[in-house]
Amino acid sequence: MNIKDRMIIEEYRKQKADFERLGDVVHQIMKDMLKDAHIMVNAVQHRVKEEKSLQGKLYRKPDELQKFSDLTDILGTRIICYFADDVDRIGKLIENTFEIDWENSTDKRALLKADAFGYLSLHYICLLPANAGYPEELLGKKFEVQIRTILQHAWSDVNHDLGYKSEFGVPREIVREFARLAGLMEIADEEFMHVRDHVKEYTQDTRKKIIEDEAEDVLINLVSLSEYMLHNKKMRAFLQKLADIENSEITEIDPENYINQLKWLKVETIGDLHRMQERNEKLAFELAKKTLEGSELDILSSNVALRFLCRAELIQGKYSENEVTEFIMLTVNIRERAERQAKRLMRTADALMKDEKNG
Amino acid sequence: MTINLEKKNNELWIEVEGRLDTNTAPALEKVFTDLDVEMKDVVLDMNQLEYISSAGLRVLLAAQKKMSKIGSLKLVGVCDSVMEIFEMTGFDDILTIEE
Repeated sequence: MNIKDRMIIEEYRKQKADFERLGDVVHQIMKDMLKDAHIMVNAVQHRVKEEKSLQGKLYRKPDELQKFSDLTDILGTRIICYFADDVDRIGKLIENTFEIDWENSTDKRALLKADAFGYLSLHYICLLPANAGYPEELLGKKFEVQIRTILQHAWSDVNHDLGYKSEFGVPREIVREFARLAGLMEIADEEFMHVRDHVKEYTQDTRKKIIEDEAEDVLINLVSLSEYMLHNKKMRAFLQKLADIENSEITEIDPENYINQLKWLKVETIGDLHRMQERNEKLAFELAKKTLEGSELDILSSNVALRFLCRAELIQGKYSENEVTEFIMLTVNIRERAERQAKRLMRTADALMKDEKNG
Repeated sequence: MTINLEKKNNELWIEVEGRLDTNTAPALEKVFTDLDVEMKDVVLDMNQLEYISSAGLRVLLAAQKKMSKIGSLKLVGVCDSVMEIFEMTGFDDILTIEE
């Protein structure tokens, strides 16, 4: 090792602890930044370069690295996101959060020729902003930020794991195989965005129909049922009526469990659900009142509306205790528990009938 | 209420005994707040729990939200009276309850 490289290694040893601290600080900043922007990511990672890896780099790039400050990736960070357009959104956040060394930052996506497929990732060289209250010893230290999708990451990781840090010396067939796979990942990234946009569009369309009472023929699925539970005025009013029994707070819960139960009751469309509510609301409220009144339980899951409506439907439909158990077993996988619930429901139904007879 | 913690393999077992109500819920809340980051899977052993109030339900709801992001939370040994409370409030749809 020559004198220049030895001096760089010496400096690295002196500063390594600071870079480790910088890594923790930057990691937390990135997590907060993504949370504030409501961007879901697969991972935020960071690592401080190992000495052995630095030695390898000095050996591979003797002319490029003249002094310690020429190294911009002692601390490397990475954000792995789900969608290709999130790469740019996150890039903008990085630009607004850190100081950017534009001279050394590269958009690897733009470097590829239009007819080539390969490494796609957005790289920034950053520094903590001055005058923002960060410890003095962490300022002026450069670090790398890589932003890529989970598919770009998979491609790059496999590429790296097979030991191909560059294309030089790699057989043409293998370079071509990797390029084909990169093309495939690029198409898949586009398709994932289409699927995401489609889900968003379907949800918005369904919500509009529900709000405007035009969802009669919409089939019940997780999206339509969730939207109905959140936005149908009559359902919300019914839920509020249940909450008022004990002045309860409502905690919103995904109604996924009820899809199979509604299907079992032959409630297949939003229109069917609407009619089921109309014919059962009174009894469902009585059931809820009998169950909750005086309990002092002032927190309820939003699913209680469906729960009591389904149970009222079971009573109105004169289902047998065995059938009720079968129904409950759609979501409760322990028979004994389902049987207990069925028995309790039958008892409550009997008590309600007696109350009615007695006026 | 008494709370006992025990690490079994990679799971943290939290045994609660007595009543989980306004007076005792903060103690269980603290267990989840101070949870070791390495502990991703938590089992809440409710064999000795006699009663749960709304305050207890709120702690379980917060714990479930926290654990679903980093690992898992399951409840075991839930007695009939506590189970009835979960069922009437719809909390059995939120929590993972095993025998």
